[in-house]
Amino acid sequence: MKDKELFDIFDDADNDSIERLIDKCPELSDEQLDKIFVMSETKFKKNKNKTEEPKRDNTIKMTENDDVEGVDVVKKPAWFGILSTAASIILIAGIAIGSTIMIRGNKKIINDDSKIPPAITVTTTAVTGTTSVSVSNYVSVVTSIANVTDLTNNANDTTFSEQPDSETTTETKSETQTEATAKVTDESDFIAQYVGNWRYQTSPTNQVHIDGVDAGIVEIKNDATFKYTDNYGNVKTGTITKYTEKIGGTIIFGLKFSGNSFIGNVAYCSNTNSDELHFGNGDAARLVRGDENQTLTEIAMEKIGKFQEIDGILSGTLGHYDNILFTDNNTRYYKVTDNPSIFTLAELKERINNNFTGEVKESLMKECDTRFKEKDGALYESVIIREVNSINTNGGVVVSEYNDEYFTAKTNEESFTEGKGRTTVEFKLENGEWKIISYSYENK
Amino acid sequence: MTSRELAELMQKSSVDCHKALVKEYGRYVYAIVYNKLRCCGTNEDIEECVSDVFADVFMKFEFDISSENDIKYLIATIAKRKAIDNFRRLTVTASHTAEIDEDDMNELVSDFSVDEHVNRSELRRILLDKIDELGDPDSAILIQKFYYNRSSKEIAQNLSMTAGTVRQRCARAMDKLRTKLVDIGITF
Repeated sequence: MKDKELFDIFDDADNDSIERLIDKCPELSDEQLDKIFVMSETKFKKNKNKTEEPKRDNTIKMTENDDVEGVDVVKKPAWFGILSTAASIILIAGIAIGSTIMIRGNKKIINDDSKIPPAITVTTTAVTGTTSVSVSNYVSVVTSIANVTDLTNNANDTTFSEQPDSETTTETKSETQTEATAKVTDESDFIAQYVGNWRYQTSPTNQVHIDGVDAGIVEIKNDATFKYTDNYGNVKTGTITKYTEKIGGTIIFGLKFSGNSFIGNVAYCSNTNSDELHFGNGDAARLVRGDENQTLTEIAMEKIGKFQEIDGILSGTLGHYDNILFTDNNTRYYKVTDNPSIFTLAELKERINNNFTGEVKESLMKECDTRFKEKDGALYESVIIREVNSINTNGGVVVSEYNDEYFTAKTNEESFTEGKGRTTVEFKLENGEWKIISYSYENK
Repeated sequence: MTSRELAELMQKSSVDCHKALVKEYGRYVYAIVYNKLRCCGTNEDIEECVSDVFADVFMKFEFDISSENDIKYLIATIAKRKAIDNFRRLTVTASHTAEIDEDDMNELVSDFSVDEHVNRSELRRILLDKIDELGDPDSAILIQKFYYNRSSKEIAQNLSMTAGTVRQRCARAMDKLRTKLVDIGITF
């Protein structure tokens, strides 16, 4: 071993040895110390700058134990504020203008209030066999009732005379008065038939009857006011006036809501459904009374939910007593434990009948008879347990191929059952009730 | 130099305080770093590491250090940790993977032998004792020559003697040390 190698044993020495070796360490020259100082100082300043970068304005303080506290104040350039303000103004203006154009575009209304009779006065005088009828403003009403052949129209006040015709004049007078009274009543009570709660539904695809989503509840009151509460609890109130529009000679009625609570201000009455009011010409929004007028999407979701419930019962989700049983045709039937979702076999069959039709219904009915028996008023089930037909509606459904008696709904998400993809369910209208006629899965 | 004195100096001028620290503890830090890196680093590596240590010490001194009871211990701890970091960096090999047979696995259970560690510590202690027995300046000459790798000229400057004297004394001191070690059963 060389002499030098003997001293290699001091490498990575313990503390005691190091202390003794330090004593014998040669003194460092001033030049060497200066060099080390300069290097150290440079590194120190570099490290200090790095750590102080986030400490602007002394808002962040770092303690000796590396605990950091304070607020990081970020200074943005001065032009950033001006630019943000300008962008905000443009955005708001754009929304306002766009909304106005959209609402006006949906209205397409002919608001000719001058032709709408706010009131009617009929004065009849019959002294010398001459009937004089004075009509304010509304010639059309009188002419249609009295069959007047000669008419003199003087702006806002019209007076006409007719040769005596005693047989018809009396009747005409009477009919005219009755009709006029009816009109007045209708004008003041227009709101009566609409009083109640309505669901305000909107559609992102302008197909509100298919995929309309509840946006809030509108309460229409007797005094022709309304209260709209949206899904977030925001409340808007206002007044309602009768609205009349003439399109192609046909007068269409509607309710005109004050303010801008809805997609349009006028909700048009439906000729075929008194429980539905449509906004605008399109199918973008509507008011539907109570729980009536479900959208096809809502119907699909509800029916699929019922299908899942019934299918679950048939596939063995009910509990039963293991020690209370009887045997029929070599099949053991166990007494079903108390379960609030099903009470009797008849009730289960009624549910199937209410929600299914066609082959699906027949199949479920057969399965029902195989799976369940009743004895002494109690329900018993066999233990033939099959796989659940899972239909995953967590992502909602898409309705398509719809007409008055048929539509399909396809789930947006795949079934929970392994190997089965999205589910397509077919619906058919039977005796006024939508029922499932088939369902099928995509292969994964 | 106490922590209070350093804190007061720091209040007046941080640069002066840093200079004072390097002057006071430069040799101390150098010795600690040297012990860890002498087998794997160059003089530049060692000086670089020493400057790293002081940069960290300066950062530490940015905060209140008046409560520090033992500045020397604090600096020694920073120096050891920094030296170990540099040692790892310098000894990283190009390849980080190796194929190992199952037969070799038993040998890899631990590369740390307590017995060997104790033996090396004991040997270091005995060697330092025997070097100390040589007395000054011979003990310092041997350590500076063979451990700190100083040239005879540098040692001569440190110890205020000629290079020739250093070489003569070094040879004689080494012979004496060898004899002392043989006497106690250590040969090399």
